[in-house]
Amino acid sequence: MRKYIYLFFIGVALILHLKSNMILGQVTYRDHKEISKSLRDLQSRHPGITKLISLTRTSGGNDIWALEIGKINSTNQPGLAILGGVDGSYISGPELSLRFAEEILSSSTTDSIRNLLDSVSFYIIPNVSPDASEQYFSDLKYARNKNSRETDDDRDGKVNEDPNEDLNSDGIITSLRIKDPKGTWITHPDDERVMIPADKKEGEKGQYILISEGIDNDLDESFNEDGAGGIVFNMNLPYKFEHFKSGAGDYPVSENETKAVLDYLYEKWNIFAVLTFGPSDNLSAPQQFNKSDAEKQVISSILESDAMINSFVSKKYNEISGEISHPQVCVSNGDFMQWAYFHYGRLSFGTPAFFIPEIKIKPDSLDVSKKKKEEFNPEVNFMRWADSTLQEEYFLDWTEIQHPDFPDHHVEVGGLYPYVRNNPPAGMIDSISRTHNEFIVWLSSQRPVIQIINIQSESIGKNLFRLELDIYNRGYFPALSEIGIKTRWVKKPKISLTLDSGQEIISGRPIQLLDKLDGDSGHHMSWLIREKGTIMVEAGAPQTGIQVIEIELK
Amino acid sequence: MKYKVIYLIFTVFLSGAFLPIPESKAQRVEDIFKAAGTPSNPKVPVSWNRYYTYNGISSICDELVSAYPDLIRKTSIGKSYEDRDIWVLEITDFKTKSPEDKPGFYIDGNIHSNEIQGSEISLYTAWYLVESYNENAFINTLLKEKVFYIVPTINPDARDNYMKAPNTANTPRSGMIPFDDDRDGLEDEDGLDDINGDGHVTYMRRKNPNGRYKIDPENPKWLIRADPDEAGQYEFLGTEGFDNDGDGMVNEDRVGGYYDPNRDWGWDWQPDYIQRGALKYPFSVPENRAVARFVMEHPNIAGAQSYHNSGGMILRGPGSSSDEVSFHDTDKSVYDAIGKLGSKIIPGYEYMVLYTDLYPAFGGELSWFHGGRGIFTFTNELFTSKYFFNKDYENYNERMKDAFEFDKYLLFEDAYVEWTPFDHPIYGEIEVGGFKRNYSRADPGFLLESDAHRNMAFTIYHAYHTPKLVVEEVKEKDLGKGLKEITVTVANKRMIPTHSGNDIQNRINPPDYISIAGLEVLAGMVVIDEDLKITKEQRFNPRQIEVENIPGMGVVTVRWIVSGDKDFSIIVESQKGGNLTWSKKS
Repeated sequence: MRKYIYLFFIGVALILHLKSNMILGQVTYRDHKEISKSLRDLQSRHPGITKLISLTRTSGGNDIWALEIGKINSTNQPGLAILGGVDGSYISGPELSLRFAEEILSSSTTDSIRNLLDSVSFYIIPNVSPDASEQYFSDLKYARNKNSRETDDDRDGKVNEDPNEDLNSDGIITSLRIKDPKGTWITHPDDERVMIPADKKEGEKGQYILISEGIDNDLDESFNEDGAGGIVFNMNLPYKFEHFKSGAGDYPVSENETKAVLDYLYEKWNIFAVLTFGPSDNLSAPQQFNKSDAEKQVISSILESDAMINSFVSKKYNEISGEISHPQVCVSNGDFMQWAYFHYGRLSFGTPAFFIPEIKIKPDSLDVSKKKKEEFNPEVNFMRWADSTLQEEYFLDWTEIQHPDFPDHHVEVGGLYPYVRNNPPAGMIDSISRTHNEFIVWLSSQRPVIQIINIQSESIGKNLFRLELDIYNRGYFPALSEIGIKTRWVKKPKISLTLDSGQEIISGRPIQLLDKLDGDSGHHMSWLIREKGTIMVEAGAPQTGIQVIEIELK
Repeated sequence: MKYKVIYLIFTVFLSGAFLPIPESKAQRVEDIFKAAGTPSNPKVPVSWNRYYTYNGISSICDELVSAYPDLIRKTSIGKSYEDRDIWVLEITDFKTKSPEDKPGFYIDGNIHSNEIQGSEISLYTAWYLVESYNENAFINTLLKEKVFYIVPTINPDARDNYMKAPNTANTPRSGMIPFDDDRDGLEDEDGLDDINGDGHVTYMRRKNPNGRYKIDPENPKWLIRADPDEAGQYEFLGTEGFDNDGDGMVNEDRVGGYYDPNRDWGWDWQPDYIQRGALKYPFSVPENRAVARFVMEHPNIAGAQSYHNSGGMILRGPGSSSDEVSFHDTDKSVYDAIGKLGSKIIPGYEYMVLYTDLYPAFGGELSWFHGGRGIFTFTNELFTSKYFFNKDYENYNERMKDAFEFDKYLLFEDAYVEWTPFDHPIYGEIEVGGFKRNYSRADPGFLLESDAHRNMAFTIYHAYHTPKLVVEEVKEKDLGKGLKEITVTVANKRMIPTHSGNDIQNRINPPDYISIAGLEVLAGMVVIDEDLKITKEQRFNPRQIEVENIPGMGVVTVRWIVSGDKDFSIIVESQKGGNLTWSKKS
């Protein structure tokens, strides 16, 4: 029986012979090959200020690229790291990272950008999930975020034994809904296309089973639970790593790409902040300080002064990118954005970059007896927005099909296309890229910068001098984030004195480390020195820049 | 032929150069009377009363391999930070089944580089197993049924540093990855120094009427605190060293520095500000990553042992209260049974739970083995001060007093460096002296073999109790019309289950498979209660029944409805229980 149904599907495929589906307007996004080529082009066009490195290759054989922009090989110039593709289904992340590199390099002859690149380095890793993101460009499209490692996702001893199947042969994996009294889903009263869980509290009874498109190949009553791949980069980081969860990995940082990216970042002591394009979001809305979580042994809240910075940066993000409706912090266990803060100790920001505006419908145009209106449903809102805005296809109307696992049931294939809710359509990518480039330039201008100011030297007689100065951070960001103060993976600002021959320190230390230095704040220092001569004072840390001055005692 | 003989003579000569004991008349076979429990005439004589460098370990491994090619193989599991091979010895009777079909037992030592004797104890185990194979029936059977994977040192770089560079009994502990301990931007720039060049890094003290220490009137070799109302004689200046980087601190950024390879494992891991000693991320120590890969590639490993020093402890997890969830009651009862036997056969060693009885530690090796892989694992802290005079010590001073007496009466002051004057560039006139690095944590020579043997015996008991599966009963029942019911009971004759409780809960390892071959299978099921006839059918691939676990000292029963009357086989495949086949022959 099953065999015949397969044949039937193949037949349908041949008869329909696919029209090519244009999800999001595919020309907008570049596949891995094109991204690689664009990066090489950038390097060859801007040889003095760029460096392109392959950090490793994934299990799927794809390079993980890092493009360095700025004073190449400078280890003491504050740096900003930008990552895309932490979730392979957020395909706009690689594009936005790359477009930032392209725009800043094409403007690198202007004074303002030349000055910026003289004082800030950018480390752009546009796509850390190339194995997954390539699915968007392949003949069978589904929102994949797993790399190519062969894994036993459902831990049953069998590998990749139950993938999705494209039952209606349209080249896209959507959803199946099956009419069944056991089901727990119903249609949304405001939009019959949208499925929502029945609300027991309201006395609603489920009418449908809702699963992704495919069959139960291994008869374990789970559908499509073990397809191609793999490990999800954004689940493979050690902060709140979830052992044994599908996609997380056998242990944290199990994957080549995760290890290579982390090793690379740990060598860049000069990075002062990290920006991630992907599902994690603390820019549309900031993370909140929670005293009790911040005081536990295993810290799980952003610390107080870092939360204040996050709040300010988020406010600025909203100003630049335009108001975002229903903004919401979004984090997940094992994600990169939280890792960069909690373990790497740097200020860490993240955004999906694409937000669906709320489409408000006037109350008088609504039918009575619909869902309670305070319940904003993002999918219904998306449909309203898409109906009125999108040129591309974004929804497959529910269409009846035969399904071998549900004989004698009314089964329909349909629902939202993959990618459309999380990635901007062709018409919007330019403007989104522009605002994010502006935001990144603003973000880099907040970097910590250490200066030596208020230098005073006085003779107190008999060739004895008192030297006083302030170590001042003129940036908005602190030299070390509050969490960075705790970890050993951020350097402390170091102040060291080199004396002329014959000179001697009578009071004060020749080398001193500062435990902290907030933005727009200073630290006063003084020494007693014997004998005249020129003293060299060096102050700073890789992430703040280092200033060297000479002071003559006479 | 001639060439071969010459080659043979040459290699014998060469290996003779490495032999720890030179040939002598007293060691002719006819002149030896066997002591119970020890191979009397080993092919590879090794002195178990001294310590070996990495090269020393490697050459003993090579000699064992060339003496017993059918019992032991040596391979590299990966490279250390300084590019040394990390050797694993695979020990089993290779002629009886292939190793991957047998339950495996993993042993390593020396993860903390200064805790050296774990290597000798691991190596003693390897030596004992192969040298006893032909003279001891128990060991002979053990090597037919099990495979041992022994990694004498998983920290070879810093083992050599410990032995060859300026160190105390407590350093380096880490491996050799340079690390900026004081966060000043420089790595390893101010380590320990053997300031007086006597070959030992000991301690510095300075005469000072305002110091708070005085010479112990009962034991002039060391300092004790002056009474609160009493003037002192000395101040204590710490470990031998200079201020190499001129920052006003002494010994604050030493070689390797403070990272701890045993806070680096991918289970219950936390970063350095929560768990001191953690490096960048789990398995950022390359030696550990190599071990993890080896363990992942050898899912037959059902039990494991790591060796540390010191204190006389047999430790099991969890390492923290948050990991208590991965220790199910069924697992604890297995640990308890093995651990308690251990504290009996290693007098002076106490069976303890790491986080409650010693200290909490995130990201420890034993945590990953148990939590991440479902492997029953102990860590032993080797050597205990109970070995001095069979006494428990209430306080530090009492224990130190006996440490000096033990050195005096048993070691004839070999462990001690007399205080001698030294002119220090910072401190001026000081005195340097104290215990050498090979005392207080490492076993003194004459105790090493004894400690090695007892600890090995403990791991052998543990290894013996990895699962042993047998097809215990095969029942056939005619159902008429050409149908037959075949009921098979598979028993586990040892304490350790094929899956720990945590393994079952998280499906870490695949289930055990019991299959039937040779007959057409119409249906298959797990028998939950044979008497009450309660079964659970398996629809998918009923020929191969999946069972989640075969419990220790327990059984599982499966059943097939088949057609046909031919001979058939039962195949049992269990990652941790081994693979076996039972065949019916009419």
